[in-house]
Amino acid sequence: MNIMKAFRRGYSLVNENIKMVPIIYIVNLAVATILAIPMFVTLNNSIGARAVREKMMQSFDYDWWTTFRLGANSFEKTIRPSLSSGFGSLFDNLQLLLTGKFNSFGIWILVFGVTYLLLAAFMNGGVIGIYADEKRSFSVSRFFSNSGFYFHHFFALLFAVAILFFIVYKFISPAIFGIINAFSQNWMSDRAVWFVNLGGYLVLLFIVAFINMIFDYAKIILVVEKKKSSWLCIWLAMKFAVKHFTKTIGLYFLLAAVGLGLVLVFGLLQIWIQPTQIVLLVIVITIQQIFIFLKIGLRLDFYGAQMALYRQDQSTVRKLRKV
Amino acid sequence: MKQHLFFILFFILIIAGITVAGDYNCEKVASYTMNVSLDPETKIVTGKEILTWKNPSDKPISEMYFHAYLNAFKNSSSTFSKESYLGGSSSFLKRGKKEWGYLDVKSIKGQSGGLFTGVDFKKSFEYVHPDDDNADDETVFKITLPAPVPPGKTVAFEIEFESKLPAKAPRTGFKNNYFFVAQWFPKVGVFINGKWNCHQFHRSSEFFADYGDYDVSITVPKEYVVGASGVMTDSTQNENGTATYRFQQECIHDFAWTAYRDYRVATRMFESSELPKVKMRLLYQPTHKKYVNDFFDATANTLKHYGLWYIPYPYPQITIIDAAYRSSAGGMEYPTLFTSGARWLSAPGTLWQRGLTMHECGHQFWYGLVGDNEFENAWMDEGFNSYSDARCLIASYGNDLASETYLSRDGFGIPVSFPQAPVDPRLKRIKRYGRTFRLDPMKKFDWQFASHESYRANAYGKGSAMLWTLEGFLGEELFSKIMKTYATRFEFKHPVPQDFFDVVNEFAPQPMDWFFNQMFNGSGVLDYAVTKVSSQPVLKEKGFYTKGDKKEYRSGNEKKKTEEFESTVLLQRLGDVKMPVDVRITFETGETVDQVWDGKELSKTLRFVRNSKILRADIDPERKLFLDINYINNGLFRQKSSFAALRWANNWLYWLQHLLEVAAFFS
Repeated sequence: MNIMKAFRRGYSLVNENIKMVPIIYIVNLAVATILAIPMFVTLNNSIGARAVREKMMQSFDYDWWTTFRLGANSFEKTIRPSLSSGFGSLFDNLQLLLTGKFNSFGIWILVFGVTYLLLAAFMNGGVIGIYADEKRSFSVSRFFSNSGFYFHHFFALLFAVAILFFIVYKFISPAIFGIINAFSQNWMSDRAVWFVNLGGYLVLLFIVAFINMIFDYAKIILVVEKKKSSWLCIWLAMKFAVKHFTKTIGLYFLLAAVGLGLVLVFGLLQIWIQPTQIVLLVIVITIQQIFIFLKIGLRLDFYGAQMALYRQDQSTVRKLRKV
Repeated sequence: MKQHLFFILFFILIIAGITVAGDYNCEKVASYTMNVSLDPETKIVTGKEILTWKNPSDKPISEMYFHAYLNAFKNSSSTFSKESYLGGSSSFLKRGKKEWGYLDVKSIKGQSGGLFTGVDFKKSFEYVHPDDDNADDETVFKITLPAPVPPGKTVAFEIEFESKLPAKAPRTGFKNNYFFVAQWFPKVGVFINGKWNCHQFHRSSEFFADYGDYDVSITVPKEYVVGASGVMTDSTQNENGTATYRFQQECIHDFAWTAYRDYRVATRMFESSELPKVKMRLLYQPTHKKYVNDFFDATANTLKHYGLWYIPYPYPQITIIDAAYRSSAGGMEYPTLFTSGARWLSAPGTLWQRGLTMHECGHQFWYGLVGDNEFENAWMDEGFNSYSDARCLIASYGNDLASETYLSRDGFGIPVSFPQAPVDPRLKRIKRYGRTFRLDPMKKFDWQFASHESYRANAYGKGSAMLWTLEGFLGEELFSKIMKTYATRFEFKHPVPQDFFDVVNEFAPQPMDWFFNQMFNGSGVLDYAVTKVSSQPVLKEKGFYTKGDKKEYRSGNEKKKTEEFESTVLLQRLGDVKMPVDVRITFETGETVDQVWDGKELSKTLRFVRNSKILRADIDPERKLFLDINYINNGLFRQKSSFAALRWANNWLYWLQHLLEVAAFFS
């Protein structure tokens, strides 16, 4: 199977089981809303009656923000000018992904992030379980039963991936940039230094993506092959990914490119529409929530397409064995 | 033939002299003629200097004090190193043998034909430490004269020196084959108020010197491009593969130069119908070609606005240096030359690069032409210049934009600007340093502040906020007169804070000492707030009321033509600084009431009875008092509206949802 076929099959799998997307979306929205409500109250206390609210209806008031953040504590400090831009939030999060500074947004965001991570690991079992059993149609009960069934395995994989990412952020990333800094320290061209650092980040991005991909396949193998050992699945996933390197990485980056396209389209939409009135605010909220919905759909598409690629390869192997 | 050559040379020198000679109304106290040569291999500048110094005082002087600034980078025991270390900066400890710098005075003699012909002053040469008891600091030395120099008399010295340039030191030094040569020669201190003012090199301080003429010939390998203070009046290609460039300028108080093989050069003329023409010479980095227009545009706007607002730039040339990357030389001022900088990638629409150029160019006026003592009164150049550059930025480009550099690390970053978050250039420095205003009063000398941040807070932030507040309080027109008078009166002079206060008092409708006492001598902050706004129906008349000799019972249900409301506004002074403030009350009918509160008490309650409720109350509605460290609490609506909070809480929710999905990436 080629990459495009796997991509299309992944899309079909998401489409056939589209009800999973709203389930995950609701969990995402609910977790975020728990923190967004106190944030709204804080903001309302700060600007609701203050004259600055008139400016804040039109744009982000830098003057207000510099005063607000001095008195802000915990997650309130995450209010910042980048929120005014459609792309700002996404850059913030990309930065987080590449630097691994998960505590930079405060302890509450970290706690909620970890909670959602566990919930996502739990629901991944449901998603991949549903995809693995293509003959049966989607049902909510089967989704949650699969989630529960695979959770201990997926939790083990989560633990393993956490160790790997710790190594990446704590040792590999400093090593990459330490080397870059050492040999570019006396360069006279800031442009050259910029590009070599960009290269460092691309390498880091590749490492992060590759680990992520390995663990996607590990989960898929665990469910499809009904394996008992999570560690074995990591090994098998690595073998598979390396053996079919161009296909696996090509598919991964194709899906990532779709994500990038989504980011561009929705980022631009938010730049064009500034919610200075209630109607426009409703439109912006709708656009943002559609983006989050599609983003979740894309995450499920990763599993679907990668499973299609894996299955196709395995069926080819079996056919060859029979021959 | 030789005779012809002599006349040609003489003619060239005359022309050169005409080029650099201007109508400068300055007292020339310290003039230098130097012949120096750079060895790029050893990073050493060797030179001979003839210093001609006139006793500007009415006292005979028998000791001379000199700066040897480069010795700040000689070892880890200098006052600069120690202060840097205590302030949390220890990068200098990583220096290798070739990276330290020093200034070695080889000889110092009386010039022949002068007062002390042939006297060897090395015998009385002694390092002194006027600011601290650090016996290891060698940034100031003194010599004892065989006889006092009478008032108004001139003495000349022949000095031989060797300057080993440090690697990437603050504002000076080398990086590979890039050289920025500043604070590099033996430089006489300033004799003022009956004593020598010659401070050591500190971490938090800049410089101070007398005006004079500089005539400097610089020899470098011929492939080097050279930029320097003043105007290049001559250049010679030497047979040994070097070239000598002669720079001259009258009436300046320092001289800096740079040499680098890869500089690109661009020139442009500044022309304005009301101001003298100025040649702008830009030496820029090869990767910064796209910023050439910005460098010139920001410089031209500064020359124009500062020239019209304060005093015209009197020199024929200004040299702009785009300092080399990671050279530590960017963002510094020297007479007729300044260093700016640029990043290969900058956030679109932001004013960082143009702002830096304007600020450093602005120092040509506040420091260059109005020669305050940067060691003792940094706010008089940094504060004045921060006030002026923000004014100039607004006049030239309008608001800045908030920006963020993502994945930022030394040498990298993805700059992104946010058009929906405009930034008033006046607020940037005030906001950055506002919280440290309380640490020290402005009157301290630079190195006496509690921290480097407190020094910056007072010099840049509070200094500029004080001027913005004065402008708001006195009115733009009057304050413009004050600034112009002050600049004109103290051009080529060494003003102290009281000189400025006196000019303000001369023009202000009332003496402003109460203001300067609080701001200059005190460390209090200014913060006024509206903390309560309420409106309620006027208390109904209920009960027995005596009318004549009858008692009348009123039930409270009697109808009135219009309903009346009693409104209350509570104003509070939350800071220590007291100033009269404007108060504006806006009613729902659109009616506004303007009042002035003297601001002396801790609080004041205003009461109004109107047929309309209050919509909002604002203290300092025109934002005159830039010193107010929290302007957000200045305006209050009677009723809350949640729309703005909802808008930003929603954007935050969206960010958090996306962040959670990023977390799920690891699942």
